[in-house]
Amino acid sequence: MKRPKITKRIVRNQLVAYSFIIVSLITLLVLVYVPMLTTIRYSTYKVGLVGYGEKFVGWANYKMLFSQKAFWKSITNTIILAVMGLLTIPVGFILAVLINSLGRGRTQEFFRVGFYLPNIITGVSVYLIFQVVLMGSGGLLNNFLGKIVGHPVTIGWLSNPKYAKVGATILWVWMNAGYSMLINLASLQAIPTDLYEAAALDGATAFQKMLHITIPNMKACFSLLFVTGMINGLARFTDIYIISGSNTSGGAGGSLQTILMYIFQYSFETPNYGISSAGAMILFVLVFAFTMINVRLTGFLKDEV
Amino acid sequence: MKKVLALTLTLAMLFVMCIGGSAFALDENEKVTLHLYGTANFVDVGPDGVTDLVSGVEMPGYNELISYWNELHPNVEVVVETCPWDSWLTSIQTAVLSGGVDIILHGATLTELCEPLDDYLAADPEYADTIFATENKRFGELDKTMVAGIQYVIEPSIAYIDTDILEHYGVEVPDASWTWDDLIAIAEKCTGTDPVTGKQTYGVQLCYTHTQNIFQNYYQLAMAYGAAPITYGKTAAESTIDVTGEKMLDIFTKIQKLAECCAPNVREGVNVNMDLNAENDTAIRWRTLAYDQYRKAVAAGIDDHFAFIPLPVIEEGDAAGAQSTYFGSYNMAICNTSEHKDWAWEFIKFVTTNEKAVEWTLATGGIPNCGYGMELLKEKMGDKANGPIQVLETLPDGFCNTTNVWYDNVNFGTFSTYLVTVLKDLVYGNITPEEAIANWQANIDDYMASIK
Repeated sequence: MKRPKITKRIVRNQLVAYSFIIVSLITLLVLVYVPMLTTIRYSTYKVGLVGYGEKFVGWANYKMLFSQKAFWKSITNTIILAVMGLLTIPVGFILAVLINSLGRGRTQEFFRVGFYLPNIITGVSVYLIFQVVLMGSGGLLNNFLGKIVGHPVTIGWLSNPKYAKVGATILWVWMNAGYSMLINLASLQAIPTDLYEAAALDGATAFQKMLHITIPNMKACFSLLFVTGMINGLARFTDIYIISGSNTSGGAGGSLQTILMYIFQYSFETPNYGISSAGAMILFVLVFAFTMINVRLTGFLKDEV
Repeated sequence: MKKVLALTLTLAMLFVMCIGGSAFALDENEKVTLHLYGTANFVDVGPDGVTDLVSGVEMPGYNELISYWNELHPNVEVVVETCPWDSWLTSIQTAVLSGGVDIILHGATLTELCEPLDDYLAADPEYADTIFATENKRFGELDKTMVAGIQYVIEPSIAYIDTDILEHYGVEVPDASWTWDDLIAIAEKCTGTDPVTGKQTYGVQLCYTHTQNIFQNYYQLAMAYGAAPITYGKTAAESTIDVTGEKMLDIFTKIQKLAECCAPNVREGVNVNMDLNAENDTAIRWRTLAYDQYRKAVAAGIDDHFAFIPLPVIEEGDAAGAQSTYFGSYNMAICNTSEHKDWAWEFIKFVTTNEKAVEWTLATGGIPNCGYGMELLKEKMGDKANGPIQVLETLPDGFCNTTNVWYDNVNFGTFSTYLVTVLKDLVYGNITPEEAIANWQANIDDYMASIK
């Protein structure tokens, strides 16, 4: 006789509990999983305009993509840009060390905020400004370099295929070094000071302290930045698209075309959602594989546990 | 006998009903709501109008246009919803899928969503004669075209020549019979230090080197020399594209020569100002939006310093003798899921031919697509209107702007986007014309192989 009452109470309690998460669950289902499953499905269909007829084509979209040199080039570009973008980690680390050495106080706060500011400025305006900064003739960077070397410098940081990835990386590092600096700084300040005091007593130099105390204690921080940096780097789109002159073929000989830009072509310019979905699936596999390798190599999750 | 009579009467009644039903008649008492969705100048001027920041000219909003419509058809309510230019194609697709869209503003590119208008035009030859151009697209069977929309703004590209710079270099201002070789010769002469002012001048400004519209430079030259790389088959897979011919090499070489007469920022495609301005340092430039440019020049008090003339003549091909041009537009298309197609057609006719509507179009800065629009343009621009009008009058019949033998941005995947890449590289000086053509052809071959 008691069992039904208990069941009712349990059900009621559970309903209350579930009512708190039901909105999130439905949102997740409708906005994440349904589109994801639709993308998987579309990748095996020929879809011109969504809602205007679909035809099952099996693996044809994947075969088409893998047969295209431009697609392979976009994969290579994506990986190279993502790896070059990891430069934010050492830059952020160096900034963090310098700022940390100022000691806690207003000066440190000033620089901490100052270096983080690029992160909160609207991206599009930054990208447009950087087009001018990185201009070949009369660009700010070239003018600066010209003053150093004593003669005019006209490197097309975004226009010349040899330098375009470097130009794109300068922009990326400028935008993201602040975040990297903040994470590094938090991690630096969490290292127990008695370790440094003990090392000082043992006569360790500053370099030895850095090598044997700071860097080993920063491993979890570097792992986090490495994994998130790779994921963000592989998914770069807006900045590259704008500095390429809003051309999805990628500026400077296609040297800046990433997979997302390649997919974009088939979504919004010459609509073929089947091909763009297949491209999206390949990108998903690529990001997943890189993340797994990174997690394994850095021991990221182990450290978290 | 009664049965035969009844059957005959029934058939006669059905016949009359069919005729009545098929006749094109609009019920002025019927309450209808027309839904317009899309971009075009509707998104630029908004419901209540805007003031152009450069020229200071006030442009009326689309509510004014709708009020003129409602004076004639009070039973038809017009509801406008605009979307921004960013991702406009996707926004239109989504809106059409949601249902209820009757007219797509600037939607003729999305041919799959458009009602073919060929029969509407055939049934209304008087109207067809009134307008200059229609949006003829290739869709489905690529060896045929269909009218996917009607332009209410037509924008041929023309050349804007700084007569002062030409005079300083002792060069005569050309007329409409000039060739691209003449243009290049003038550009080369006018690149250097101005003999009178001592300032650096540039012979030419290739248009839109900072955007994807850089292709317009290729387009105009391909048109002028009859370089037709595309041979249409029934489908994209059955079509062939060959850009490796001598004509194409000549065109790319001419673009390279023109690029050498451009300012460095124009070659790099950064910080480019294409508007006519008082600090102009370029002898020849070209672009669409002739009336808008005229208004800006007037506002800056420099209209007397510029000649507006058509781009060079077409020297080869079927259209030889006409002016080469790129033909921009704003169009309206009837959505093929609309339940009010007849009213939608009536609205399009109203916008393109009603006098008040045509005046509204011109007031927004666009050149209207009809004879009355040309009269108004002459009134406003004087002799400077001759350039765009001559281009429009010599335009080849059935001219299709974006799916033709020179250029197709609808049916051949990356054909058009990769053209942008090679043109940017060529203009900046990264590659030679030979390399540009080889790279472009390789990309085209890659794509064509994938669809066969």
